[in-house]
Amino acid sequence: MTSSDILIRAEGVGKTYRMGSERVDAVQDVDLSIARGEFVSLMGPSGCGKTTLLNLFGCIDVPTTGRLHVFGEDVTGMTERRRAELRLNRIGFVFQRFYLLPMLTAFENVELPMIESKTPHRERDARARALLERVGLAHRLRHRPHQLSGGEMQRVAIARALSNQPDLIIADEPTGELDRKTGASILKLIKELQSGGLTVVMATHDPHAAELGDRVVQMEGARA
Amino acid sequence: MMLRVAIRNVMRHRLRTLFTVLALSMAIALLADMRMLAHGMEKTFYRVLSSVGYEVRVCPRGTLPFATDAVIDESGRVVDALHADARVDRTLRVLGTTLHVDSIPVFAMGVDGERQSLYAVIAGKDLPDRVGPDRAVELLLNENAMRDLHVAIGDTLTLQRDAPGATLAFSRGLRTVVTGTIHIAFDLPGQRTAILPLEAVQQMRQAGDAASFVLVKLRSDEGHLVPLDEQRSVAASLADTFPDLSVYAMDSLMEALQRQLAYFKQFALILSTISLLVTFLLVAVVLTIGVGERRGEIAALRSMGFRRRSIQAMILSESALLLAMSAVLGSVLGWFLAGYLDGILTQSPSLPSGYRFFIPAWREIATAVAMSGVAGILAALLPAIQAARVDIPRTLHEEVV
Repeated sequence: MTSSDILIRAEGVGKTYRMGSERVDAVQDVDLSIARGEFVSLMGPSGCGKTTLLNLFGCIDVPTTGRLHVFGEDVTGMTERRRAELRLNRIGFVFQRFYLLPMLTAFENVELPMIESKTPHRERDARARALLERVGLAHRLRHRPHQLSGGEMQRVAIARALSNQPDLIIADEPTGELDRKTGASILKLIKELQSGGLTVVMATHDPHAAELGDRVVQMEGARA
Repeated sequence: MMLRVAIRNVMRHRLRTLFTVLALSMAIALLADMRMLAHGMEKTFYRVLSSVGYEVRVCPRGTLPFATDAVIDESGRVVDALHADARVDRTLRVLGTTLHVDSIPVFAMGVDGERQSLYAVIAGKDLPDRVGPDRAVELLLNENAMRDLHVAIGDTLTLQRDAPGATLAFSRGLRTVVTGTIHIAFDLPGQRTAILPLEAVQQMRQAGDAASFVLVKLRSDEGHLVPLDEQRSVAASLADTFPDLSVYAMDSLMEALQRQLAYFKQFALILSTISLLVTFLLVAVVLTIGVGERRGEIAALRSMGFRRRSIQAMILSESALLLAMSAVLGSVLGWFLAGYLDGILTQSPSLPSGYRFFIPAWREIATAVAMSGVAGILAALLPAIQAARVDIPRTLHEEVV
């Protein structure tokens, strides 16, 4: 694997929080490389640091120790503005609780990140339609989240994550709020994204879901 | 799009938005009305002053016209001196007193001057320039006096200085004939006013050559009022000529009025400040609650790469929307409330009928809306900054937990 194939490289990465006077080591001494186009599942019990590690890989947070490179850039010393740029243009996020804006339609939710990235109107319109069609919701464009099922909401969230044509998908327990059958269809969709060339890092505590990954990284006690 | 998101956010809690807009509208209406309060008095006072048609007033030292019973003792000498000034076109001496017809009091003004514009004759004819030795004194009455005294043009009236039965009543009456009906801009509501020759009133008051004040019209093209600068300049030089009298240009009378209105202005200032504070606090509270409720959504937007500036713009747009809706309603409410309050206050018996407290004015409403807008935007700054600085990992974690 050449260095240009590496999308994420973590060397001794750690993240420590302060909760009042208490110090919490959420992630400790993680060494991990994720190649372009790879599907990595982070497995482990609740509180083992999966979400914290995803936040670091997704440039939402910065490590307190070690070195972390995402897309070849050192995240450790990166400004908030630059991290926001990377998140907007190169990383797509899929959350357990979807986080769709309830007052916008499915179409508008997908369109929103493209407006922030200043994608021309005609292009974003076409892309939002195509993405919703791709996730099987062409008939739900004008529906608001409360008019959709859990599975449909997660599909809209996936379409939204893809709207700015990212290289990396960060999925945090994407099936956590779904029944087994719906969850399976969402996982299938995420697997298809990888087949399309995207890199996927997914946190899950479900061994069946984790098995979809090319590699399963087991986390325990803040260590990978 | 952020505006669209802001609109949808505002419409998300319709009842909350409705109550907020109603409360903000009232605050804007109150602010607009407080700005109109006292401005109406200033405007109408200036209008009445202008309609009287004299630029300069010469009064007993330290007094304003009819503010006290003080008089200028040798008013004829003053008028002669005034006419010696080439800038003076004409003068009108006025002596005010209360006379009686039987037991009914009438406010009488004796006047002496040519081409007067203190009052307007609306029926009949004006007073003659001179009083004939053997003729009944001619008299002009306003409509209130005509009605209350049951007289018409051509009728005779006997005026007494004192009411019947008063101690030291002045026994000799003045026989007059009514020759016209007049209108005076600064009459109080219901006031009975009579205009007589100055000499007749001086005799009734046994006041020699006295006058309450002298009105001075300065020379100008086509009889218009001369500019304020010129008024001030003439008033200053007349003040030098008559050091024992007070000489007022129109703007110094306005200043005197403004001093008298200081209480109104203070009152208006306090209520305006309260209104702005209410706007500030209301917007701050509503937006802080809104941001608190949507912390998860905001954190998700931030995690997706939305810039802090975009989040701030969204919250500020919500404030602007609330204020825009309130501005429309508050403007209409302020306009009608001003009219209603003016109707109540102008019924005061001590206020001349042409005077107003509130004059509905779009300029004042626009200023109130602009001030409320600034207060609302300032109030939105803190919740906007809070929203933009939301701790993404912690908030998302708390939302899931």
